[in-house]
Amino acid sequence: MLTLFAIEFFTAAAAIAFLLTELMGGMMLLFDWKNSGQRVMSYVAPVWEVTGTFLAMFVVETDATFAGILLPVAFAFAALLLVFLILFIIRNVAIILGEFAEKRQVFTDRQLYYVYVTSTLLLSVVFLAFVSAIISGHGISISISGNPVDSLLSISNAQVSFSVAKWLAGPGDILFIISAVLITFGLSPVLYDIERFSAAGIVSSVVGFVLGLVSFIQMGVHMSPLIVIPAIIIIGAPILYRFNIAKGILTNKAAFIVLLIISIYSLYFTVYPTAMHGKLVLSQVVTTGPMVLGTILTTAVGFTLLAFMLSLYVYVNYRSARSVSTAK
Amino acid sequence: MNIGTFDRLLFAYSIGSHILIVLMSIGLSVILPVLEYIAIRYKDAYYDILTRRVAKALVLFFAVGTASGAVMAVELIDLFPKFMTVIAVVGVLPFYYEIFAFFLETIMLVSYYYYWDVFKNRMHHWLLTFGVAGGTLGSAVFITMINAWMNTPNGFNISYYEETGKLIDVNPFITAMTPSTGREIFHVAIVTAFSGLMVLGAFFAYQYLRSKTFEERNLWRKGLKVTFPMNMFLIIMAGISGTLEMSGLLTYQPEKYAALDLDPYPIANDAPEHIFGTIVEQNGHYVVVGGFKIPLLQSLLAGNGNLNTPVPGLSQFSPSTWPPLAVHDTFDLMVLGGSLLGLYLFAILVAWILKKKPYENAGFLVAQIFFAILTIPIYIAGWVTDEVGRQPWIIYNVMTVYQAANYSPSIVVPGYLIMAFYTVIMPFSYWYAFRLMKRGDVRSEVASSRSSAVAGR
Repeated sequence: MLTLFAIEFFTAAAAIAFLLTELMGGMMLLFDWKNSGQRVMSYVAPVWEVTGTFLAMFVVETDATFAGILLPVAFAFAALLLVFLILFIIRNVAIILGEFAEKRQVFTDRQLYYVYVTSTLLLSVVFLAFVSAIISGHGISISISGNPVDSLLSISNAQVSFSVAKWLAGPGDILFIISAVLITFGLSPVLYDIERFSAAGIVSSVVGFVLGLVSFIQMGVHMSPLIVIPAIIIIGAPILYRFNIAKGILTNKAAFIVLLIISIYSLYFTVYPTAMHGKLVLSQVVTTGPMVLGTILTTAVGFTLLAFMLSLYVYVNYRSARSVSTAK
Repeated sequence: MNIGTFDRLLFAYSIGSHILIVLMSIGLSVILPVLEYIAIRYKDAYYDILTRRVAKALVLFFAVGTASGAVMAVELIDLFPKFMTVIAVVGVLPFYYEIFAFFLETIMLVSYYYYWDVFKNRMHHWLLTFGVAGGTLGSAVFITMINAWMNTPNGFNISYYEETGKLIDVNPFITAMTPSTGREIFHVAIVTAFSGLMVLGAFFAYQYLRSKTFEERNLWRKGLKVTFPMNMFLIIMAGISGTLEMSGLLTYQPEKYAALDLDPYPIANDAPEHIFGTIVEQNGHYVVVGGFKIPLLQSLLAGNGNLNTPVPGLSQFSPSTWPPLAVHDTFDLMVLGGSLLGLYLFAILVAWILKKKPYENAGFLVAQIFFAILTIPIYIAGWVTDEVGRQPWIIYNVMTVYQAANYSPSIVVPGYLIMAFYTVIMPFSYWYAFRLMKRGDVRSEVASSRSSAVAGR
């Protein structure tokens, strides 16, 4: 695999994994605020900033990895990008206001958290719409002459446009989003250890995964045996949780995020070596030249530091959880 | 309005607002280690409360800053696509470094704020403040690297690019080490922290003046006892770093230097300093009109005391590449304003030495509020001087802003929405942060802090 793409896809997987864990919490907040609110917020309140940072990292790495084609793509998806941005701002403002909400205020913390959940859900849908368009190529018109990373003529070298109407009409894309939402709901009882939804979680995960497979087929993805990995994790986790097997590991947030990253990363075949249903050959547009070495070295050093930082975060989280359980 | 001009206006408005959020993030993050250290070292409940309140405000500014930073990133791609293409191929690494600094800030702040009570040993908790400050300052440092690169570009074959429009001989690593990088980082970090702490000091002063109980007065007074000396130190550093910055311009951006100092012609020695005024053309000659002159001062400053130091003049460059001469006025405003701030802080130092307790004196406290308000336009004037002083270039002597701009009319409506966003979010953030910092009953918080300290023994 192209190294820059491998790095970029890993970051995308991490960003999506963190976003999904928030979304899982959001679903539990919507369906079970009374019982799950505190448990969910004790995870979401600290982690939402980490998610935002991973999303920012994804943007910068995309800039480095797809230097030549980034701008035409960014222009083509400008409307989606703007909607995403507005939702991102609403999400940040709502959660921080919810966190510091006073008793006698215009909005209660619960109302503000609902705004946060709704905006996070919508921005996830926007993000998934973008991902599905990149996988299926529906609604996207693209033409590239020459290699856009060779020169600064990229804007005229690559012509990209995106039509929402055509994307909506394409088979599989909406199903892809529905399947992602179902899988997210299915996994949420596991992550937040909420047993009352565990049976519904199994059904939701299985249906979501099957619909996901159907959507991939409809979008023209050539299936890889690697699909077994997300299958095991997405279907296996709720079942194991339901039958009280390996519950300690599954409800461990760090372990769960690692599993999510592995499942998402193993789906790289949906966009590699070609994306947009063969319209975009990645080797043609991934950055080449000295920046590759620069990015690889920075990634090596940066990810090592990041691993230490995340270890610290996991450690304080663990200490916090332990002190809460001791207090009980 | 030309769309290219609209792009410039939008970006100027956005970054002008964004840096007002950033200066508070940086100011609060650098004071946090000091406040908590005093709280731990002297077991002072008031400093403990201040630490917690400042941390709360920092979390708020961080959240808004993240959203605002995302807006800035998207604007750069949408408004100046050709510039971002060059950045992506030559100089994207500082952006990438910034992400890791951002992670440092995020993870340390999250661990610091949300898991406060997990740390049995407060010194371990205190150590996290260095991560928070390091990450916050690191983000600013790496972004300033990009700005320095725009002022003194390197890392690719510039003449070949100018001839062919193609990028060759790219060295992505040296873009973080241009001739202006060190000076610019030094100055930006110092003045940003200074401005943030001036505003925080004004908040403390205002609260002190409004306080009704001893506990409240004591809390805000203790805050001022930290912001005053930090600001005294930082204003001295701002003077030194500003002088270094100017000497860098003299060598690497002489055209900008000549515009800032309003020099129509090169001067070999004994150059005067023009305060305000402008240049007009009379009978084929450029002359300075308006304002006033201080003899010898420019050479004195430029040559570190050597009056024989030559200074460049705008006549050496094509008038088509001159920056707008208004930068001379913004430069003067910045320097004069900075000098006034220095005098004010010097007066506080003298009063403190004479044991006049400036942190309790109503006159000094009202002055603190006044000078903090003055700090904001001075800080903005500094940014305007730097950015407008590089005009018409976005990358100095390589690419103009109009060459880089996006001329699609689709920018206009979202652009106005973004301006509306900043118009609302910026004052709201300040208002809400101040509200968070003043919220709470100091007396009961002091009692609770002391009892928890006793329980912890």
